[in-house]
Amino acid sequence: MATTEPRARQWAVLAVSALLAAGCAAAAPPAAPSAGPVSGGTLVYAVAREPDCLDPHVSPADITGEIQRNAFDSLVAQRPDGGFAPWLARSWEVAPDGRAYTFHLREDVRFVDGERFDAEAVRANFEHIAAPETKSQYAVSLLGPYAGTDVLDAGTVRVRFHQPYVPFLQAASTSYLGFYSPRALREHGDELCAGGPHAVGSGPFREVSAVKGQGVEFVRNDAYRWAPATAAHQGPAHLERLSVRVLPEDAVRTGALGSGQVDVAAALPPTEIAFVAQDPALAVLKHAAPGQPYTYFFNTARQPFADPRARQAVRAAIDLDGIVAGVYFGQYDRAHSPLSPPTFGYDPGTETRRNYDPALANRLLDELGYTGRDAQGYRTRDGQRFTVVHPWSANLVRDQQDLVSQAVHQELRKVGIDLVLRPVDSGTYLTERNAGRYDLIGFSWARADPDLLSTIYASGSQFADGGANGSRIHDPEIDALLAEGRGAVDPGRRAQAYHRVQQRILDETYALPVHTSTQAYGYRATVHGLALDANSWTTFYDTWVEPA
Amino acid sequence: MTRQLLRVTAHRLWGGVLVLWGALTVTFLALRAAPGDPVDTVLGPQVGASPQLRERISAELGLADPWWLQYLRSLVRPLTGDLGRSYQLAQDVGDVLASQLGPTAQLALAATGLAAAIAVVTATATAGRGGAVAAWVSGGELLAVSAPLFWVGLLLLSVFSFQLRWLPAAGAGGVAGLVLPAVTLALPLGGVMAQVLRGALDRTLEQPYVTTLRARGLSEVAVRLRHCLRHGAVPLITMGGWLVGDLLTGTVLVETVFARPGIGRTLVTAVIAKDFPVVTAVVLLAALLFLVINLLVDLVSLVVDPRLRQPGRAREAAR
Repeated sequence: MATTEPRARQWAVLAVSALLAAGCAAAAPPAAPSAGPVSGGTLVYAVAREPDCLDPHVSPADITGEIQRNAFDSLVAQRPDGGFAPWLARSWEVAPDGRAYTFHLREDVRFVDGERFDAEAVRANFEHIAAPETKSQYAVSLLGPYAGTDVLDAGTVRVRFHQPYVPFLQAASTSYLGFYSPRALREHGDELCAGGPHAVGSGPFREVSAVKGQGVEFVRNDAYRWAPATAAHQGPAHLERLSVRVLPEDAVRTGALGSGQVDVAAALPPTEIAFVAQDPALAVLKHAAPGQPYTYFFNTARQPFADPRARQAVRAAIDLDGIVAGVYFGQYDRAHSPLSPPTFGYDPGTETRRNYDPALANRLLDELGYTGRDAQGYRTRDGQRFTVVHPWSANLVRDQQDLVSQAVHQELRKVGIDLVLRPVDSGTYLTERNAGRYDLIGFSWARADPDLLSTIYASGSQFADGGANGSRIHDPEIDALLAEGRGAVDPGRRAQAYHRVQQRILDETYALPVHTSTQAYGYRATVHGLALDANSWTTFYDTWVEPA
Repeated sequence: MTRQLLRVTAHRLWGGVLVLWGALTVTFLALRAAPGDPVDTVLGPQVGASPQLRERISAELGLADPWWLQYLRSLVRPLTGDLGRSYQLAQDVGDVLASQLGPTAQLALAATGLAAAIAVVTATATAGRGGAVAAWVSGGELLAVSAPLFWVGLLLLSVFSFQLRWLPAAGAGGVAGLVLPAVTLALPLGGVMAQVLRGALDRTLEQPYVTTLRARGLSEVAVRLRHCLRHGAVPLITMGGWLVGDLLTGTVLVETVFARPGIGRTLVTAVIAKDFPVVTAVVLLAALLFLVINLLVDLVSLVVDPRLRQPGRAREAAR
């Protein structure tokens, strides 16, 4: 809602954030409470987006994964250091070839409808995800080269894969591979998108209702005794009720937080972070999301970006440090690698690359033959202007990325490149994108495992294949490294493979990382124990509120 | 009069069938002509889809059928009471609309009542009176009509919810949650209605019978409320159809700002997502509502305005 923000206020925010410097605006937890956690109470959580479908087995949406975490448990939990801790599985073994995982399950776990969680439930859920009728858009890709699930006995289950699949533990830790009561799958299989009472899991909260346009209501699951080993406590959750409300307008969401109508607000706009952090009644929890930062992809399958020098020229022409600092008021970090820093396998070596060099850009453009100039001052070759088509859709834009594109347009103009910002509706955008009718597109992707690079850079992951290969590359070296990363059981070797992928992508200038996706939550100082999981999404199991 | 009512009704019903057919056809054509493949929007922006998944979704949505079959289906299905299944929400459209209709109806009724009250109070109080007060009121109405709903909503929110903390910002919970959205929606409607009503009252107050009434010693309030208002209300009643249209577009914005569930917000997301069944159902609903309101307007006009009951003039009114 940049249009409703008075300009004077934006400048005020700029001044304030400059004074505060980065450290102050980052997570500033309120003073530790004198007493321990209090049981009971209601927490109201305002989110910015409405899930279309609340079934984590089907929906690829972040918001579905985050909200349904409260109702669904997973086999394992990801530790902050990237390792894994027991959850519904007490322990597990990975076959030496990385093609089978055997899980030993807890025996005391029950779904909220009273059904028992056992090996058969694991099999039913994974088979449900893999079944074509489910039309899973994301969970099925997390199952990777899934071959089948064997029930060895009630408490032991083996998941098999066609190829070695090391990322499986991370995949199994997400709510997308969380477990429904087998009865819910049997009886309400085609109504699961509606969420609410059909979302029968074994999680710390029971989902009582989901109203489209309004939100989702949870009550505590008092029988809960199987929290992951990563949690701060065991037993039932502290909160008695959890109310998730959809407030799409930034101004309304932050206003509702400031006036105490909600306790936690997601997706604070960068302009508001410093304000919220300044308010003694509020605090900010800010975290870089793992996965792929917001990145521009050069379409290498057509001119002008089929020529690496054209890609290098664009990269050298843009002062991304300045743009990111300006558009996001210093709240978001500049990204340097195809992976975000909190992702396993991130290569800090990418940070030392220095790309901004307008002189180099001009030299490369001369070399490419774009030596003419037209009436508007853009470079031409054989009378043809150097044009870069960048389609974008207002419905799909996040985090003011359209402002970033406008700034990039200005930078490219300086060296004589015409960046054509083409606003289209989302349907057109997706059609054009899937058909490769663009020169430059941008998107980000959250996932706490470097295997997501396979979805974005592997030859077999073109948009037409169900992937997201935005640069439309077919690079055998990257394919080999991605396969190695997927199959390497040794973490050191695995990280090494992904380091080389990142360096290769930057060496070849397939893509241009812009800024790290940053999750900024504002919360009332009366809220304690608010935690973020490996995806930088909220978890409310350990959260409690001071009684009013 | 009864025969006349029946004729008007029959005439309207036949016209209504044509209107519904037209609405469905235009919706069908518009949705097909809009760029983009519904399968893409069903899948969302993140991934492309494997050809198998695309085929499966396309077949299930009936998009693989020839266009004339799809068209026939879109005409026939509503007749059987089957509104289809939402692509995007994977729920029956009937269920979706049923859950969203209540909040929108509440909002629309509250806003209409409030707008009517604003119009009657300001128009009867200021009609036929020049001077500073009338000018100010008229200016205020103009402001209410021309201020963007979105901005008014945010303004009311920040004053009454965020600063004064009198009313909740969001949610459909109870009467308190209805106040700000209803006021936001009612202000521009009330402004237009007040201007129309005042114009009519101004003309009525110049009529000779008003002088007669005054000469008989009736108080000014009685003249205005008991006699002139009934005359002045006729143009207001004929605005009923316009009112429904304005309410529907208004709810889209108001429901978004105040994060209320409702038909308006559902429609916006459905259009963006090319969710054909939901869009078609909402258009059908709106067309039906329009027909019913226009029929009521005609009938109420006949009751309110005896002049229309003269033979030969009812047909004009039905147009």
